[in-house]
Amino acid sequence: MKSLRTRLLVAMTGSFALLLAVFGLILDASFEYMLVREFDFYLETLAKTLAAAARIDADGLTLKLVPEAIPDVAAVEGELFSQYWNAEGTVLAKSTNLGAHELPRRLAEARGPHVETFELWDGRRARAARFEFFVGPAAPVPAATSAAASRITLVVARDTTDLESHVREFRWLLLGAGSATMILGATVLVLVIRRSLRPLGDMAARIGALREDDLGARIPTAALPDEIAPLVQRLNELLGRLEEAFARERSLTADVAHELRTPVAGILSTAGVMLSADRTPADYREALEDVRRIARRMGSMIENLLMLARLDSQRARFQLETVALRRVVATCWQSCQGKAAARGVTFENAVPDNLCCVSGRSGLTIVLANLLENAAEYANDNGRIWVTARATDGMIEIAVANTGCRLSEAQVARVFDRFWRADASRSNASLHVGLGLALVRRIVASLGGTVQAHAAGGEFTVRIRLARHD
Amino acid sequence: MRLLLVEDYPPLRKSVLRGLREAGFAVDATGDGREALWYAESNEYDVIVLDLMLPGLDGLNLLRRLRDQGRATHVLIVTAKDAVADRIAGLNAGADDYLVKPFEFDELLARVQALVRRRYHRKNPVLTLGALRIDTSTQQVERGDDTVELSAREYALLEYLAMRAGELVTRSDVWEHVYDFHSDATSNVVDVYVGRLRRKIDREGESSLIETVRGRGYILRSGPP
Repeated sequence: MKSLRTRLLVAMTGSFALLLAVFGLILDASFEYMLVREFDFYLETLAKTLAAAARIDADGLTLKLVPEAIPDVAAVEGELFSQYWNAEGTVLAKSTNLGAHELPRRLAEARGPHVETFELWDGRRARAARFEFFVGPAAPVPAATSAAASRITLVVARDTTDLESHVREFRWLLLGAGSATMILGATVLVLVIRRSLRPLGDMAARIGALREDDLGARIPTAALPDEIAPLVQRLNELLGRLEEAFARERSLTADVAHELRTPVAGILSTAGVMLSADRTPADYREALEDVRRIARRMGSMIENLLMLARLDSQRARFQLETVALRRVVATCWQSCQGKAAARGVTFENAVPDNLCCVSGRSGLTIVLANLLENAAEYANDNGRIWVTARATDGMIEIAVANTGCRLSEAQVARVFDRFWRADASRSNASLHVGLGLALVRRIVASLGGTVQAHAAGGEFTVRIRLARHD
Repeated sequence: MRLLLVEDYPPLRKSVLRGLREAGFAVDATGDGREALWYAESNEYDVIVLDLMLPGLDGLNLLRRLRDQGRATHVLIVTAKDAVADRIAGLNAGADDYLVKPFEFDELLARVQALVRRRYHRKNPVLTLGALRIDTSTQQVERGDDTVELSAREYALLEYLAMRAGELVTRSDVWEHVYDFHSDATSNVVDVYVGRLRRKIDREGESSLIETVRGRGYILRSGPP
């Protein structure tokens, strides 16, 4: 039942069949009711006619008319029976076709005019109409008989075999007509559904024709039905987002290639120049040191990139544990210490000794190491770097700050972008891969925190707010 | 020949600088765009090797400024930007050649030498002046069948004089094109080097290839007198 077409067809055919069945039942009931009413009316009329023709005299009841004598009655299919009782319950007369049998007495004993169904002695079903009437003698009658002869109960019965067969026939007819209508209806439905769903097929073909290298393509929605248009609209929006994502991916790849080309050129050129002539061991050593420095830089850039990629694909999850912040900051500073000391930059770890937070230690370490490295690189000569932290309502706030900031407001807003370099601000150029702060933002986000950068009065501050998780 | 090397990545600048100097070029190097502009405006460089992404002033704007000032210095762009649009932008900004990083140093050197030849309207990397044969691509100098051994500075002087063979070359021309800012040159250093060069390339009994024009400079004779 996966096909929408099948589902629609089944649902609609089912509903249609149900409606048809209900309609058929109503029709059948109405038809039977009408037939029975007609039947009963006939019986009652016949009873009245027979009653009108009955006379009573000294010999008892005289029937001037018997059902068989009425031409219309003779034409009626099915047997007609009649029986007369007097007030005492004595059978006065009965139709000859009853033979030795009698109509059930209880039919005569009921009150008022009455029609009911009963079973004949041979198992056939029949309907009987009761009619009471008073008759007087056509000629003067003896007093002895007149009193007893006054009230007569007449029961006219007719077997309903015929009626039932009519009803059955009608049922078959109804069933046949209903089935034919069903088949015809289903066929029409199949065609209608196929026609209505054609836009879906067309759309599938269009979507199938989309190529991954042409994400700029959009499916036109103008000619589509209202139900499908929103779907296609969403799909187009998705295509738009995909296109953007791919463009970002492409520009990232281009940026990576660009950032890696320069150090590779450095290695190639260093090696090429060194190999162009015989050198002293000291020269070789220096060149190898240079190459190692470049390679380390490239390595850390690749690590950062991989970390970013993992974070982007949500594969990296940091294990939560209790982190003593002051110690982490001190550890992270160690790798920057040499570089900072050489330029006379001082460092102050102002994180309270007892301040702990439950967070991802490895993530937090990468964040702080990157921030400190960044600070050590951009702080002015003889400048200052300091780290503070405090606990506030369920959050831990860590701030890493350095002097010597020459970034403008607009530049500060962009420091977390990948591969952004504050080129214009650097006089002493050293390769800064522009990934460190992007990584910081990404990790802080995955630790459930926020990060902001501020520049004021020559001081650059990165403020991290982390949930404490405790 | 005097070059300006503008590259902001220190390890690359360092190795290229060394390689170019060893190839006999007088090279000034900087990693800053503004500083590079100052260098280019205050000296007559034969070729500028220019990176595009620079702190201070980016390479393309630097190049446009130089061209607006009417400077005809040959410029080789060396950059990591490899897109066709970038190459076109670079050449349209007035560059003479475009080299994408990463590159082999030998290729950079060959391109710089090609630009130097264009600067002096030469097509043949081998300069022949009478019996003197100078291969600028290998820096081999021969006189007849003999190889002439020259120091880098001597070779640079000879090459410059040879490129301008037949022309009057003033002392300040030599000063401008054979020495960079870091040379420990004194006022009479040009005369000293010309003297050394003469001893190496001239033959006894023949007049010197390098003619002194008193009070003005030198002329390297392009053919027999």
